[in-house]
Amino acid sequence: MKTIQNNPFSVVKASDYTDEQINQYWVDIPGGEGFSEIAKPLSEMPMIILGGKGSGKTHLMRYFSYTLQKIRYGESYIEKIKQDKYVGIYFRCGGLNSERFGAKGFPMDVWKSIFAYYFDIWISQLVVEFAINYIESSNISIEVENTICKEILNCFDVSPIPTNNDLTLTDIYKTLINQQKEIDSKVNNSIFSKQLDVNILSTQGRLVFGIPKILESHIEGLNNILFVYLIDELENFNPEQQKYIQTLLRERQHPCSIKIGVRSYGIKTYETYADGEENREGNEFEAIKLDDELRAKNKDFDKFARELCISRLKACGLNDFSGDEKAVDKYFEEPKSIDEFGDIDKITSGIKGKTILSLHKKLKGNIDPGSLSKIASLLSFKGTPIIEIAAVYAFYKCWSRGDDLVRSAEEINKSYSSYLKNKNNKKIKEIISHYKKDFIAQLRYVNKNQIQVYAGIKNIIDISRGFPRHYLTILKHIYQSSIFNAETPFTSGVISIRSQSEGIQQSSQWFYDEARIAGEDGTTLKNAINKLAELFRINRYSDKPTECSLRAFYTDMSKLDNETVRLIKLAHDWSLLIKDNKGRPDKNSGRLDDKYILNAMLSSHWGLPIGLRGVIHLNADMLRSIFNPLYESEHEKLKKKFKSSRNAPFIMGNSMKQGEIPLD
Amino acid sequence: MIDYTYFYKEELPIDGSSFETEYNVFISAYNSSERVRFVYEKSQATNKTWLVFPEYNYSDEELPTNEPYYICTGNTEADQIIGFFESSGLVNEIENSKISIDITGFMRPQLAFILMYLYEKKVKKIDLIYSEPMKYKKKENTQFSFGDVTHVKQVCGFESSPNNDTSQDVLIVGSGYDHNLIKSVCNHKEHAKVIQVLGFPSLRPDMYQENILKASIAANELGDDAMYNPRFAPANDPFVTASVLSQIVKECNDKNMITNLYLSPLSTKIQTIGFVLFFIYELKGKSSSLIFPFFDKYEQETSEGLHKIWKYTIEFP
Repeated sequence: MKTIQNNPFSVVKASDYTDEQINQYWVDIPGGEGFSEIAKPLSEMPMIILGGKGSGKTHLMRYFSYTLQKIRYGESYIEKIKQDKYVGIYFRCGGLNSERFGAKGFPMDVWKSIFAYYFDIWISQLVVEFAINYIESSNISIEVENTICKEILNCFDVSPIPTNNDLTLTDIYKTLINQQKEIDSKVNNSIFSKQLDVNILSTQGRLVFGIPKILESHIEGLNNILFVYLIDELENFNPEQQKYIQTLLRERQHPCSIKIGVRSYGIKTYETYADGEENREGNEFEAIKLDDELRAKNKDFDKFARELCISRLKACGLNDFSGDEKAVDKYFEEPKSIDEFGDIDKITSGIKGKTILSLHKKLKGNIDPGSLSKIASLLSFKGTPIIEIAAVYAFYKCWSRGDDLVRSAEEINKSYSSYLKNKNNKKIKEIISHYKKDFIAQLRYVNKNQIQVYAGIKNIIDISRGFPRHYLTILKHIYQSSIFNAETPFTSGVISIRSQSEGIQQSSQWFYDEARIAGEDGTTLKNAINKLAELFRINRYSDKPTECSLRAFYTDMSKLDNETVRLIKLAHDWSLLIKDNKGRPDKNSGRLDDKYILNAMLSSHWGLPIGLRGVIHLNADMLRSIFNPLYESEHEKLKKKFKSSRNAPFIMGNSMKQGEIPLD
Repeated sequence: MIDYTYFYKEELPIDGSSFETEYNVFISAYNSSERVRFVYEKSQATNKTWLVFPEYNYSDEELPTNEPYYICTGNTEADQIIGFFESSGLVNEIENSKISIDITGFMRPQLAFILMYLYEKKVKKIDLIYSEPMKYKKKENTQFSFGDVTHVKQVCGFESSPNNDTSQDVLIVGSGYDHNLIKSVCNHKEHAKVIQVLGFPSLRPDMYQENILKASIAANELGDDAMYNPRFAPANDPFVTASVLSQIVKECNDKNMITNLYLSPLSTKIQTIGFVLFFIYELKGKSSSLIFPFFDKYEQETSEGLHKIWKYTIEFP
């Protein structure tokens, strides 16, 4: 029997992979041309690749870089680049430590010019480094190389070194490094020297677009090759610095294209230095949101996720994957399907069960003791806890409408008893089909010896849909739990439901902690998400949930105040909320409202469902009390009403009639 | 690799007698710890000044009476420290002054910068005083800063000349109690290989366990290697800390030349001195920097009692 020495999923971030590992673990998304169809490396139109943390931006961008092209193609790299028709120049904005370019007693205008020049020098080094690599593997004469060097020096307004006939690209590379070091020294020491006399030797953008053009025109193999600048982690630049990148994007020249990787919240401006004009999607650039793209792929994402798991296992020496990618499913214990007509282990039903005891407690004081016993007896269905809780749910609905309670219980008893025999009551069947998972969650919750079950490969994929890093993080934690529980994951037996649930719970906690947003917005959003999740939780564990499998809301955004809208959008940018781009038509007016879904990574943290069925309308009052700190004090009152409308005895204050749901 | 343990370290009396050495300048960061006041009172200097940092949020009524103080202003640690030396006139005489700084109440970025500033001003030697607490008020749950991290950045004066090859970037984190700080720096340089340095031996025996307990909350961000294979440097010896750092960097370079090195001292202030010393001696002008997660506010008082007082004599290259 093969065993695995280390956790196959211990590395979850693309940034932790070496170039070789990126290549080794690469899994393409099935369907069409895979990730190339999303990233469009051959498109000259600049692209902004937005995405939540963990959506795979860095992985994707690094895959299209020339270092990966080189690893991928080995010795035939020169020939294959011709076929690819592009070469990717990848770098991280974080690497520039760009926060140095500001303040220290100097005005912003000075920093703007220095940063732009520094950026040009930085990017030029990467292109020249590529060129050095390229000519090492191709037959370029010394004369041609010398011509290239002279033309590169001509891109400077004032050449940093004298031109001569012995110049090589290595000389140019060293010159660029020296330029960078000189700027670094002046910038870093300006705090002590109080001087910032950086010599700016080239016009903005000229090196960035000029060098590729020179290379293309002199090196045959690079004819018609697109130089794709893959600029990752743009969120690390401040608005002024981003303005320069937006300017480059707007003024892009052939044979270059630009792809910017940025977290969804990381774009601080679309303004450019071109008279302050803003870049517009569709005109100056194409934008994709990577997690949305992956989510939209649905079944392809399922396949991709399974293959991702297999690729990690194969790297650990497990090759036992015959047939399709679903071979991996066998390692994960699947939750048993619970028969609505059967009993559930460790859950007591009938008169002494928690469902009836809870009902008993709620009726006490609201009805005479005789009727109470009668109702409890009528609604008790010993041995079939799901039927029983569905019957009690039906009873609570009657109670909330103000119906006669004993008569209601009699009718419910009649129809549910009949359903138990005939199994063909359409209405009951529908209720159980819709609410079964919520009923089971409730039963597990009130019977405290039962943990909530989050397990099965399908659920694991659903939780992390759109975020490969979340998926790998869950697998990492599941693996750890499995080892802790003395199992032998992926080698013999299955990973138990307990280990899976624990792993998912830990991942959920990690995501909750990880979503730390800097500054005041961070605290505000965390409070908001707590409040929103609490509403969903109240609904799920209430006597009369109005929606089944609920973790989504819809609203008319035009009725919200600006701050609430800003914070909802921020929660979306941070992937705490996922936006359903299809929206949701309002029941009454037919107006298409915005629909937001709480990220399924948080489900386990709050005991919420993974699947999604119901969606609730939250009005402006409720949303502002959740998101806008100015209205925080209103939240307790609104939450109380929300809770009362779903729990016996359904009393919601003077202004509301029994049974009326205040927020729909 | 440099052996920094040749520097002098001395224990000062806590019996109430004044410290023997007399200085031209004594600087201390004003906070509410009794040990900070004790050191201030026992120190002998011609010019004794409290630095009042805005992050401690002292009101006018809480400021020292009958003792000279300077309210630091400005947006960065550099503005605050330079502002003090320039407005006090010390800038012109500091090079030839005998200086003592009680680092106990300093925040780490300000502490790092003041040392770099004095080095840049050609000061050759400084005595640094640190008073150890008996314990932290809420043990492992003691919060030294509050609110969320507003940003992570290079500390002024410790900025690098970066390498555009980031494939072998290394982040060395001196882990302290505040796991949010650890998470913040690891996330900020998430592409870097992380090496965790824990304070061992710790200031007091139980503080090591408390430290591990808190740092483990950041296990995901630290990564398996940093979490389960940490390095150790004494929490109360900056010179051993500097030597350990020097050794770690040498080992890394022997394996794969480090492309960019980030140091983040998040543990004791004494270890911070070790990080600073190592930087000044071995990393200045290279692709190395000191990074720190910044907060708006710090607790005025986090500890109880006075256990020991140390004097570390720093000599600059």
